[in-house]
Amino acid sequence: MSDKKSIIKFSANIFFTVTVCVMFIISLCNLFLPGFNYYPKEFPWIVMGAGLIGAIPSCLLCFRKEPTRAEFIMRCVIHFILIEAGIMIEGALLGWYSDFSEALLITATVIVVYILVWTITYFCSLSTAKNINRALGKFNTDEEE
Amino acid sequence: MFNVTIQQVDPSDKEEIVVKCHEITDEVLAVVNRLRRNDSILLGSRDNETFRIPLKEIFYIESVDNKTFIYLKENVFESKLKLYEVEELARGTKMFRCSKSTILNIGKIRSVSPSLNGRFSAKLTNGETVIISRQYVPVLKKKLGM
Repeated sequence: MSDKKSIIKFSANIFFTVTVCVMFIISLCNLFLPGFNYYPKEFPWIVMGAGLIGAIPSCLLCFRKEPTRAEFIMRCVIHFILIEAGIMIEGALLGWYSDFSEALLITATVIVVYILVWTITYFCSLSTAKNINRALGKFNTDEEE
Repeated sequence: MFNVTIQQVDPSDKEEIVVKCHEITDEVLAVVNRLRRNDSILLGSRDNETFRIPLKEIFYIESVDNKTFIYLKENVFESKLKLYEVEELARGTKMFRCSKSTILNIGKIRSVSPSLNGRFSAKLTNGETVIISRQYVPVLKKKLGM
C-alpha cells in the first residue's frame, strides 16, 4: 500500500513540476519571442497533457528493490521512449510539426531536455553528497571530542 | 547548551535527575538516553542465545519478511522488536530511518555517494553499503545539523 502511495506521490510531483515548467516556458516565450502568441482555447488541456506525459511513465522509475545498473538503464530507455511517443502523439494532434524534419527537430529537443534533466539531477545529488560528507566528518569529529 | 547544576540532597531524600527544557528535541532525548543506560541497549538473539547489544555498536537494523535483524560489524542478530519500535527506542541517538526497511547508525557511515534514481548509497566503515532513500535524505541532513 505504501509503495503505491509513494509511486502516486512521485508521479504527482512530476505532473505538477512538468505542468508548471511548461506554463513557465510558454509564458517566457510569449514575453520575449516576437510573434509568439501561444494561448489556444485548449491551453489547459495541452499543459495537463504534457504533465501526464511526464508523470505516467515516471512510475517506471520507482523501484521496490535497488536496481542494477542494467535494470536502471533499461527502465530509463523505456521511460524515454514513452515520453517521446507521448510528445509526438500530442504534437501530431495539436499540429506542432507538419513534416519529417520538424518531427526530427522535436525529437532532438526532447533528447537534449531529457539528458539535461538527468545531468542536472546527478550534479545536484553529487553536491548534496559532498555536503553530507563534509557534515559527517564534522559530526564524527565533534562526537569524538 | 544546557546549564548543569548538581545539588546534594539529604540521604533520606530520593535521588533524581530532572531535565528542564523548552522543547523535547533530539538533543534532549540524546541526553536522556545517555542517562538511561538500559535504553541504549537492544536485545538480539542468535543460536538460541540472547545478547545485549549497545546501540553504538550497531551498524544498521533491517526488517526483512517481518523479521528485524541487527547488523554489527561482523555479526547479525535477530530482534523481537518491530522496526518502528526500534526507531522509537533509538530516538535522539545517532540512528535514523534511511529507508522503509532500514535504520542506520550515522556514526558508522564512512561516506555517502549518489546512487541511481535520486537515492544515495552510504558506504559503512565495515565496507557494507546501505541505500538511503530520497525521502529520508532530509532526516539525515537534519541529524547532521545541515
